[in-house]
Amino acid sequence: MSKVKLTRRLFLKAAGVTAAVAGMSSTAKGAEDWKTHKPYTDSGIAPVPDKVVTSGCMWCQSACSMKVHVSGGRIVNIYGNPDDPVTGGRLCPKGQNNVNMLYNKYRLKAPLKRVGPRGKPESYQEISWEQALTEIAEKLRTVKEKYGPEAFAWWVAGRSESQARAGLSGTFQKLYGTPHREGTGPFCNFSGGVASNSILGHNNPPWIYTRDDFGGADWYMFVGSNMAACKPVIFGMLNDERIKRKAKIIVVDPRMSEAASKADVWLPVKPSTDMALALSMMYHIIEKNLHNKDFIDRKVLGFDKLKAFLIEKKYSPEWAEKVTGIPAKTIKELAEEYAGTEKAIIMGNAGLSHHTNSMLTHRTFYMLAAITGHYGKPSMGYACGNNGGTSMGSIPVPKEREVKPKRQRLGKSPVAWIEPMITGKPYPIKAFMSVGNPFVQWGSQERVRKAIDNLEVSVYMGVFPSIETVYFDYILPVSPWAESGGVGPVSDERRIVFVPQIIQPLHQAKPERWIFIELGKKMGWGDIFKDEYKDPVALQKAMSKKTGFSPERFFAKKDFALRGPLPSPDEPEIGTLYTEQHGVPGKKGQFPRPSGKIEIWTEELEKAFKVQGLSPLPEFYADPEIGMKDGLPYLEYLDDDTSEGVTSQLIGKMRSPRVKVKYPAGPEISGFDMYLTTGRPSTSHFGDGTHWVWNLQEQMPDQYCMIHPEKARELNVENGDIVRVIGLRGEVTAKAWVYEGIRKDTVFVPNTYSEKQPFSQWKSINYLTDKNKRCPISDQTNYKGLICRVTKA
Amino acid sequence: MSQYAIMIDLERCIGCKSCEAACKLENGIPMGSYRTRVMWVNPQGNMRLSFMAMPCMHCESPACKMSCPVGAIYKRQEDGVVLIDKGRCIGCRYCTFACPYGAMGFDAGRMVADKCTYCAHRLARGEKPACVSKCPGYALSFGTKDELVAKASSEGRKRRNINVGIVNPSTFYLERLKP
Repeated sequence: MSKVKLTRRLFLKAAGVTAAVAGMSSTAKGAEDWKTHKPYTDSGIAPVPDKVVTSGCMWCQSACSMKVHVSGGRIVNIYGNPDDPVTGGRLCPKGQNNVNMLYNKYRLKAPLKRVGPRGKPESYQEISWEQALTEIAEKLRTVKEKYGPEAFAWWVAGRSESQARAGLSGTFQKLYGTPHREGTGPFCNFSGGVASNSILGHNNPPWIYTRDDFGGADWYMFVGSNMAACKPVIFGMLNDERIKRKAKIIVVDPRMSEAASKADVWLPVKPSTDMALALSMMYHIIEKNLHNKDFIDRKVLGFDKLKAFLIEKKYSPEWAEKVTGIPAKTIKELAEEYAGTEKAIIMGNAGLSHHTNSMLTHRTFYMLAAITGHYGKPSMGYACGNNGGTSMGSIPVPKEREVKPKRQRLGKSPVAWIEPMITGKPYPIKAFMSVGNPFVQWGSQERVRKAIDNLEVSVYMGVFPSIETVYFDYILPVSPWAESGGVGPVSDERRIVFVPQIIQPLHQAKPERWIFIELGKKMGWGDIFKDEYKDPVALQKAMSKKTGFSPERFFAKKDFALRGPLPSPDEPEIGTLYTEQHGVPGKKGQFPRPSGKIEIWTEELEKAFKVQGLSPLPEFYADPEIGMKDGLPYLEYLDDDTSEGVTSQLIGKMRSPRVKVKYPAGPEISGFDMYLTTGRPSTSHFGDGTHWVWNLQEQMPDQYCMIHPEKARELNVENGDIVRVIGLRGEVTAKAWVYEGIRKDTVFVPNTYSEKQPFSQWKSINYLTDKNKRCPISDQTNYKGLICRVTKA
Repeated sequence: MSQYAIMIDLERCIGCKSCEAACKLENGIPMGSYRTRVMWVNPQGNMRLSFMAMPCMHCESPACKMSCPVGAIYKRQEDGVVLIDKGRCIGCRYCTFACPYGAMGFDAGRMVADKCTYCAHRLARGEKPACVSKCPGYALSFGTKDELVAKASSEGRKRRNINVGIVNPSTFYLERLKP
């Protein structure tokens, strides 16, 4: 900072610019006056706990172990667990605010049934669990008889407790006979796992989040990953190591994110063009003969094909400069540094996954790490976060009871269900259960809201009265973490934390386990959905007969955490994957592809990609709106969600579209001068749920539009002004955050805000995103490569 | 007396606001009020995005103490922690104006001043302040000022001079390694 003596008042003045947006002022429009929300507590300080219980956090996928402070039967505070070797006892704002999620006055308190028009709270009537589950089961049976079992779709999203999802919802699905049950992957980072499977032979990242593995590299590049906000405890450890060991960090992101604020180099890439960066780095490495020939000879298939392809396509740094906006000189330096540093990590995340080119972009970065020999030891490799998924086991269904779907699954992403709901093509979806917020998180909100009208039954399960609770037919109140118990979401590094039940469910809410079991019984499957499984320890025991995730093993650990894969009860936990010693437990070879090697290109892969009109060799294309605006290659879809399409050969047998890479002669669209990219508001938020917890909401209260000062001046917009962000499908408003750390041609608007949240109300940015523009392979929606124009409201 | 201090490393702070949340849960602070606050300092020119956590400075000569007309603010002999005797406080708010660091808050319900105590109740149990215990970035350290200053200089870190007049703050900041 400057040499002027700074007083705190000057800090405040400097900081005040941001404070106007990032905390101080709220545009609460009614429901709640935040100033009088809650007084200073009478007791002041938190009481000394009479009991401290080891537990885990269920908000995000970091699997942080926690120490829950209980006093007089009430949870009074939460600290980190110092015995957790990954977190070292540190905790983010969300983890500790599990307290305020639990004892929250807004919580759904009883089952509700819609008896009037949608969109109005007064249309809902309280009913008993007995009535709710009896009616839902009856309707599910009717839909099955009238339209076939494939007409029932179930989104068991990320907020769903993992044990109930893994152990029970899959069992329910098999007995019912629908192929349509999906988790949160297609809205998260599923494409990274698909890419990893296609090249390394397994979905998990190579590293674990300890100081000697992930924390131990000399060089890091974060591409489309704001790890400081999304995994603060792990990034905090990494940043601590960086300072101690003088490691280098490069962040590639259109805006100066929290992660970029710690970087030696920040590269504001044009949205949706990261793949070009990886292609040109490989081009330069091969041209300069810096690739790892020994590693390639022993462990990589298809290098020659890749080399010829890069040369033929002329994917040079000079080409990439024009596409990405990153200078060719910088790309060359990066490539040389990376090839010359053994302990080097490249990490991708949703910034790569939320594009139409997501699977191939991830695949390209995996190739970059492969040709430079960055696999096989700790502190190296490329991987995409949120791909720690590991098999915990499930409740088996007798073969003769399993109903095999007759019709092919409609896509990987739940948004592939929307057009079939509306049009009935290629066949109808008529029943929908959601443990997530489609009215906040899915693209093309207008269509999503239209779809709900065409259903014969819709069921929403959640903790808060989110916007879905005034649209769906049945609303079921769910008991979260400490009331329910179970296991938390799996982390990037395959870690799962066991969460014991600590208090009784509040109000009439019930754990998902209880709901799924009772619904299963009403469907006539009581012999499989046993009452004893309502206890999380008993269910875990039953699920883990063939795996190592037994309750005894969880409880034997001081952090209640286990790291997969544990394919057998006695399997030891291991650290780094893809080493010569370990490979992947339960799978063959160091790299469990058919060849046992890293597969850049094989005939089998060529055939699999070709079905959809693509190739395992990554041909560059941008997102459609950006391609049309700038005359860059983009995808043309030859099939849509109402047509049969082809059968995917890369993510399991399901419907997928055929595509063609189109090379436009020049710009094809005008009137939109900005790129629009979306993402998480800050550490404080995760989905709709955090917006109902004041302690988190006040940390980032408003939907903002991060905009460069030059552009703001041009529009006569000042910090804190309300702006209209107008895209191809509609417009939303947001509060301007005038910010030098963003590309002049780009605005960033965060997701997760909605019209029905208690402290501030904003129309979701997903009115602008397009559910039809998805990665043809992974089926992930493009949330981050859009175009818009901005005006003062 | 050995003065207690919090050392705030601006290079390590990642702006997550975990300290704010920790403080509120531990001390029962309501929405819109703070005993510590993280400011995001926007990037400007060659300055990158930075974050500043701002608890009480527990000054050597506290301006709040000097301004208090009823002697409700005192500095503890044994460890230099500055505390408010809320029974004596008359709610005149002189201290909120006097503090050059904006660290003095106000409990409008009880009409008394309110501020960071370095979690004095936790110190009494041999624990660190809540914010320090939970900080994901290892940006907050707690100890005696002497040992923290020694640690910072042994690591070659520069301290930011934020002294105003004669107050001599105890909480201190380490400069970023690069702007």
